[in-house]
Amino acid sequence: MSYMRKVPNTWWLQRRPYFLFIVRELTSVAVAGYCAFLLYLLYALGEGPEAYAAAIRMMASPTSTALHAVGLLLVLYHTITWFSATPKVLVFHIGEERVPAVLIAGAHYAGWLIVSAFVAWILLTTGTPG
Amino acid sequence: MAKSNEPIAWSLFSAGGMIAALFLPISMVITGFVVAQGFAPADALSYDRVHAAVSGSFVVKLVLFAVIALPFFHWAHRFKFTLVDLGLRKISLLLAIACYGSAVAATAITAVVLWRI
Amino acid sequence: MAKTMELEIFRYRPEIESEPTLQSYEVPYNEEWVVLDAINYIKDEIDGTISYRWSCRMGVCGSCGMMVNRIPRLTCAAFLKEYYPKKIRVEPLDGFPVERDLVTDMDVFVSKLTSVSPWIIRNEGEEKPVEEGTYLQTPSELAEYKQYSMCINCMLCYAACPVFALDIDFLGPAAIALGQRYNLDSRDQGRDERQEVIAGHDGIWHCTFVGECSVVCPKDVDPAGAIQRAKLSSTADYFKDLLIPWGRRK
Repeated sequence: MSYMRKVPNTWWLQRRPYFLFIVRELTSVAVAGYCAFLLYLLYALGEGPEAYAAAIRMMASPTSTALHAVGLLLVLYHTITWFSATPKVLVFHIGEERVPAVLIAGAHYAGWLIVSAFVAWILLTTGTPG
Repeated sequence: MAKSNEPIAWSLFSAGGMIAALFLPISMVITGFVVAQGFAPADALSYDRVHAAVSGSFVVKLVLFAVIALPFFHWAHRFKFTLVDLGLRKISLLLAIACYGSAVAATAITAVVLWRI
Repeated sequence: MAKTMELEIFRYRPEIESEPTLQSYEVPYNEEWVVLDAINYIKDEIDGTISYRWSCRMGVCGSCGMMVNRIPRLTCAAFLKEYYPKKIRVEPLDGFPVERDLVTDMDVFVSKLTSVSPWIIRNEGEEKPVEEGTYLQTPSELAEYKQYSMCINCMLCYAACPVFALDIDFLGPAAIALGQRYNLDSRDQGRDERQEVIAGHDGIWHCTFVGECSVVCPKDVDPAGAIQRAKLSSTADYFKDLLIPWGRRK
């Protein structure tokens, strides 16, 4: 008569790797939350100058800053773990040698830098005619 | 041959995850701190400039659509699996409907909001 | 005063108990000893009733996997000095039914291995007759799958996997890595046939890339990587089938 041990619902609290895994997965909530915020900003934009100005004022509030801070930490954790995971999925061989994981990850970080610089330039410089 | 349709969900999850990883951090730094603390140039995110940029360009709307909608699918897929991993496998179908359904709804709302600008 | 250590061992004897217990033993502490040495000492000198699996005691047979302080380890590779002077808890590998003491029911695992058809599959009429010699393979073709051929079936990866712990029907790391070993072998033509199991109801799509399977693997097989690659190739196939239905893979 074999015995099946029960898995406690707190399995993910028993060891650090499991806990970090759940944190990584829950970063998706921060991702969705921020996208909802962006959606709200766009909605306010569509509603006209007063609504948009109110949204910008709200963006400067302490609550917004606090939420952004927590959210940013979670989203950064997403980015870092995502770039560590991608080399496991994208495996290339050149002859007998496997392309080193660090190159794949490095390429992603480089892309991140480029995208970030581009977005900052687009949003924060006033060169474009309005 | 029973073929799983998971590849669609996984593709959306992967695309959303990549977009979130690349675009969200800088975006959050800007909306959370740069603008809030007044480090942005005076009219960088002014109504006139932003409204003109978005309403005048289908490409801009498309990019915004992708940056907002795809991460919702990333969340839906990942969150559903997390709830399953936290012991809710028995109701996984219900969770799938709730999560992917929310993502579809959010995508539709995003499309409508962008259309109206 | 000779040094000693405490080992707390999971006991389950179905003929005398319905619930498992933990039994403590004091063993001599030796710098060179591994946990398996300590368990063998218990069996030989203290309590001959304890049941467990072991064989090569050098990390190649995969028999002696157990939970050591809640981490899946080969007990022949876990040194007492890593834990001394704290006590060591030894339990059967997580996720599997326990038959007796530290012995798990391996049928669960073996049937998963068989289910991925772990042999070279050739298309109808493309089997090379013996007289024509062996299938030739270049070193780079070998490199494609070699890592996944190193699995010693020790089941540590299953014990580390929360998805398997919660769902015993999950195909699991070693079985999928084994499937990939053949899928990526240039001599094999059976990928489509294996897809039904690998990409099917209990296959790769249950995996949430916790990654602990690869962390505990004593042979650096990286089953987590094998699974993610399978997800990518299955997705590519899915869209190829959708958009180019007349195209035929090998």
